[in-house]
Amino acid sequence: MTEETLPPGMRTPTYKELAAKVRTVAREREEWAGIPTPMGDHFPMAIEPRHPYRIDEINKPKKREDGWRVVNAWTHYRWGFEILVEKNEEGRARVAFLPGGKRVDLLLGSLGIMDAWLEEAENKAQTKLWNLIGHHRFTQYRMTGIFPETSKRSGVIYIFRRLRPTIALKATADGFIKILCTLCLHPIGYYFGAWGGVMVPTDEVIAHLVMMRGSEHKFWANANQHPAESIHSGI
Amino acid sequence: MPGKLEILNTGDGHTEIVVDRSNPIELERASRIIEDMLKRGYALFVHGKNNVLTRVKRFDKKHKAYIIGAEATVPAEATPVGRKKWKEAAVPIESAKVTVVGRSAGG
Repeated sequence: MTEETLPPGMRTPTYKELAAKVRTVAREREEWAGIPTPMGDHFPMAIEPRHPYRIDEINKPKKREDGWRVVNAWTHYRWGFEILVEKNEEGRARVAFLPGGKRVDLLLGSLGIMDAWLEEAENKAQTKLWNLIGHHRFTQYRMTGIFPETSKRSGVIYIFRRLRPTIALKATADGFIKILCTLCLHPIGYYFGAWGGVMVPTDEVIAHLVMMRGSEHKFWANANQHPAESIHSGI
Repeated sequence: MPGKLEILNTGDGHTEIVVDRSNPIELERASRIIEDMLKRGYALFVHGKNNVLTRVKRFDKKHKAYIIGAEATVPAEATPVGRKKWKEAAVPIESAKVTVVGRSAGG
């Protein structure tokens, strides 16, 4: 008898079963924003510091076996790759170049964490988004994964994107549009090595949208601001 | 129309809690949940006209109302709080639609 044919209580649960169980536990324990679903060693989680289910042993990325650790990193804008400075336990430093492969890693990582999300949760989130932005812009979102909205307070144009940071644009005096930065914010937590957070993608878009509409300065304060040239900007 | 709390959630998409004045037990439960969420640092946004959102500053347990900063976007059902007119406004929980976002982990 293979493990797949065993009844649910007798075998290792699938990620979908685990996500459903975690959801039930969260309801019982009155965790209003839910408990993030762990996705194993491949995708350690970053969880907000005050969350009761933040367990550093599980959530932090594992130490590398070769003893090297990254102490600084930046993006070479012209060549489009990341430059890393690494140090080992003896204090020796070396430079590593990370070509565009990181972008592919993040893209494929998003496929890897897909099992943490429930399809019905995404459908529910899309209905809510439709109520918030109306039919036309929701159609834009469904077709292309993005929709724009201009802030009445600041005049900043935001491009909200599924599974990518929100782009903030501003019209300049000479009639051009300038990218201010991209704003990356995940409520409750996110997975390292993927674009997604612990909430379904559209719920994260809703979180960006309601924070922009209701408390724009807090949205900027809480989000990580990535320059457009950075790999993490998702542009 | 009863009030509604929509809490963005990792499992369900969002959890909906209906706040109905005719049900005192539900009203009490909702006010306990709202207090708990504010204590945990969640951001609560009251929906106004045309889905204009205003962040909740605090919760008035006695009157079961959200206290929001009074701006041009105050919902129609809000009433001014205190002497200084429209410095703050109270929105009763049983008539407000609210979206709740958990604390941010950055990105």
